[in-house]
Amino acid sequence: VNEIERYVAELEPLLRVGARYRKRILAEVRDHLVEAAEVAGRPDGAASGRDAVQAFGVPAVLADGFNAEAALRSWLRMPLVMAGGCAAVAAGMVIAGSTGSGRTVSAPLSAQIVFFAALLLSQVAVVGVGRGVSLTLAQRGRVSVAGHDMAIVRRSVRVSAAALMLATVLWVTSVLLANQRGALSSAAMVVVAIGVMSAGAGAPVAWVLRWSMLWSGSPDDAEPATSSAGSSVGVAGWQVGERLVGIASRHPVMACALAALGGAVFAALRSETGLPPSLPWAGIEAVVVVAAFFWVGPMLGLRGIHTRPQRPALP
Amino acid sequence: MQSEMLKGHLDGMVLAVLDAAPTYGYAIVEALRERSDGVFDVPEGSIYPALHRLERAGAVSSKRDRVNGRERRVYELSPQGRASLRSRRTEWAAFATAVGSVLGVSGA
Repeated sequence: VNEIERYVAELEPLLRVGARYRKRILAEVRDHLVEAAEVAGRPDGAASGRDAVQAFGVPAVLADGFNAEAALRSWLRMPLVMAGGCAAVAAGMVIAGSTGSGRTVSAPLSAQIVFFAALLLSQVAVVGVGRGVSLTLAQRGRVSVAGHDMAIVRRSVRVSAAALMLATVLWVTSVLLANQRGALSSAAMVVVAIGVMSAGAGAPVAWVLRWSMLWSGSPDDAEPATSSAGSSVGVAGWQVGERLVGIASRHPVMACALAALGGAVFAALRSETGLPPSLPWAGIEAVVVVAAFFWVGPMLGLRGIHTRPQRPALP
Repeated sequence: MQSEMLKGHLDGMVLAVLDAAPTYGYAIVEALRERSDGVFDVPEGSIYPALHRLERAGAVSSKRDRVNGRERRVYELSPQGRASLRSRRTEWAAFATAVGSVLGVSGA
């Protein structure tokens, strides 16, 4: 029994998993070893324990197996958590917006710029989350997940976490500026809105940071530069997002133009000052959409990763 | 047998053992050893990451249950796992036949 407890004690610190999963693993390992030692039934109890431990495998190797599985589970869950964070930040903005005083108060240009930048970053966060969720759903029912798919999920989560954090800071700043200017009527609701936004962004971002640090330098971090088209097989019914991504990556110019047009129309529509003054915002939105598509797109696997297989050179 | 050779097939063999009846980790290891006449002598611990992987994918489910007077985590094959096992069996049969033909092994 001492041998078994020693083994469990050696395994425990090697596990880089959550508390509940750790407890489950250790309970299963202990149960297995105790039964193996009992079945061996040698007169020398210590020898039985030693045999059981030896047959079970090296703790470090075993821990690697559990750690890889825990990392995969966490990364596959993160896009959904980030989606929850985005929803919470959006809810905070709705709460803040609902406290509008009704008076016509023109916000200073600085507040408008902050608001607009927050909006742009939110869009990046939403696209990152959408990409991560789409790929995560496509992995449902798959025992193993391709390395390049996991790399995209990780990058999507990191991009959306960074964008959501920055967007939240800017949203909070814009709410405070609007409140200072008297555009918001209820200070209590402003505090609630800021609380919801901060918690909504802070909790998932902290979670992402925790796992990123826990898994920094892990062997599965190797990210191949290219992936083959149609690698994300997944289960039918969960592939809609991945099909759209496939279309976007095959027709980047069309996808980019549609996204830019949509963004520009959105920017123009939300303007309260009429069409002509909103055109510069719409223009900036379109430029940012195009820039983001080319800059962030490859990170999220939206552009440039679906390469055609090269024909072998003829002799 | 080389454990590297076994690695890619461990999930399928675990599913096959669970196809007979729901059971727990130690019993699965014993069944693998027995069914293979002792040829598959993998480190016993390696069965657990495989079980957890299959559980994440929905191929098996698990719950704490009392077996032989003891609390155990018992694993059970899900309908999805059963379907996966069917397709693995088909794939393996085709693969084994093809390799056998190439190697010139009779009865493959």
